[in-house]
Amino acid sequence: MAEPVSYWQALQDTPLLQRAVGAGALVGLACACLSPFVVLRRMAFVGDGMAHAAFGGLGLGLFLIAGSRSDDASIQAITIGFCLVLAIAVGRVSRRGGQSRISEDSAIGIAFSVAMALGAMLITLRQRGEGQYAPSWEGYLFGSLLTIGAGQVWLTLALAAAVVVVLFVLHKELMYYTYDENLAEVSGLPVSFLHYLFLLLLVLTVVVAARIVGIVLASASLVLPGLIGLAVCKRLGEAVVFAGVVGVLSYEIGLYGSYVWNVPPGSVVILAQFAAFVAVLALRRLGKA
Amino acid sequence: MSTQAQPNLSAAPAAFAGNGGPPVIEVASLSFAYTGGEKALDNVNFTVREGEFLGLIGPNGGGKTTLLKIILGLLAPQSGKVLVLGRDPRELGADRLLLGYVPQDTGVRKHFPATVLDVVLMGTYSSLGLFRRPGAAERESALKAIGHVGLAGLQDRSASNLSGGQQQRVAIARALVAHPKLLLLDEPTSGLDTGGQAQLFDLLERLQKEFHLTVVMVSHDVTALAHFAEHLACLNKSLHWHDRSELISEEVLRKVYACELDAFFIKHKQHLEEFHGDQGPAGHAHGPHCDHNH
Repeated sequence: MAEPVSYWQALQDTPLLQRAVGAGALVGLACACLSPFVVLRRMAFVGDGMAHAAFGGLGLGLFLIAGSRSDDASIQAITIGFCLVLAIAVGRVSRRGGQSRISEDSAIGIAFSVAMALGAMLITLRQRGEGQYAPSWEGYLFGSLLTIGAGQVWLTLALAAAVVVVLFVLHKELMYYTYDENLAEVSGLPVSFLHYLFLLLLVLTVVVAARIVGIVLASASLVLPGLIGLAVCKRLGEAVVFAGVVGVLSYEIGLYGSYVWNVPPGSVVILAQFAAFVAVLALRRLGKA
Repeated sequence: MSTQAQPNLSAAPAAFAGNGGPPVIEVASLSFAYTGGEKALDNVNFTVREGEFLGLIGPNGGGKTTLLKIILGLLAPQSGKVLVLGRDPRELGADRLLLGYVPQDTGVRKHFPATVLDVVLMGTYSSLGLFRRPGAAERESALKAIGHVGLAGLQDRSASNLSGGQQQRVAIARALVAHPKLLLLDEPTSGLDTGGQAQLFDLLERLQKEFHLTVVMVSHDVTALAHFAEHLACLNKSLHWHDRSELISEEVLRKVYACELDAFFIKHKQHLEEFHGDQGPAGHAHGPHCDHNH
């Protein structure tokens, strides 16, 4: 097992680790800033579904482009496109509310199971057919430091910037939409636009986050920081900022733990966030007693 | 439940001209069904004029909330005509602000992280347009609205820590801050005790006079509404309407509602009015709730 000090040494010497630290902070920030909205709008399952859909998109990309690797820009584009199509389909169901025959959770359940099934089939077929390079499944599912290419850092930077700018510029609209979608629509806010914009941000964030913390764990980092922020803060804006800080710190702790203990980064990120959540709840309980 | 089995008792809208002011809501031959479901509304006709207070009663699942959503422009009618302030409610544009809406309580809103002032300021958002944040002027009108509903001094309190009655007042203040002409309330008294209900009705009566509001309130609690509304309409897919000057026949209400007890209370209250003037029966504010499965 490496000594902790060697992490700092490795950080100075290894561009891969530097990229992971940068991308991790940015992804942690993006996930966490969206998470209070995800929690309040009860969209945790949507995030989960989209993360699983990413696996289908990945399988489709690897299958369609012979000799491709999972961190190629073309594969990422196909993955994001695939998830967006599914997100729009699910978004249409959820916008129609009670008017749809299929409930939102059923629609998501179907979409993500089918996507996972498709991904598993296509990736296996591709591996068997040409014996091309395929990273470990564990990396897809629970995250890996090795999947972060140089392009990934720029992608996460663009994503985090988009999330922060949208949340800052449309703060009051997203707040009203989250408070009550019908009320916001009655008052004349462009609720459909906000609905799909938020879904778009969510899809992009989940797909990018899944590269680092894995498909299975990506959605948890869209929930836990929000729960922590909402437990601590009395106003939505404050909860978003607090969650953002929790997100960045937990991703950095996750990368450190991943390197030092040689375990998937996703596991340490989520366990760190869960520990913080339990601590906040315990402190609140003590404060009330 | 078959709508055919019910007598069509709808009177012509003209029969309820009330104060004779300009119409605020005009609904003619309105029908609506959710995808794959049976009709939620069947041939509904009515007119609400400026300054009137209409109570819309009916069993759960009778289409009350659906009708409100159509009036608000959230749902499109499949047949018939709906005009709000003389226009299609889905094409009101900037005049949407003239519709104040107090929706049914939901868990999300009850636990939303915001101060009273934050919530009331939401009422100013759409007039500000995208990108602009509320400034001193919006803050001032929000504080005024908070004062109008009797919550002065509570603007910095966490809205989720207020009582049910206070949260309803915050919702009304949020609607008022946009200076609406028409106030639509969906079950505002549910979850309130008798005292809370009476205070809310008093507040609405005062605000109606002060701001010349037209009020439409939906409730399944007929006795509470019967105390205050000038006109009562019963909605159970089709609409059956009467005003305070008429005695509703028990038989009609039983058919509309499948609920004898509520019919009794309306009749009882109106008898009392005939003898004692305008005072409602104080002991019946928290009357029996209607159950359409009777």
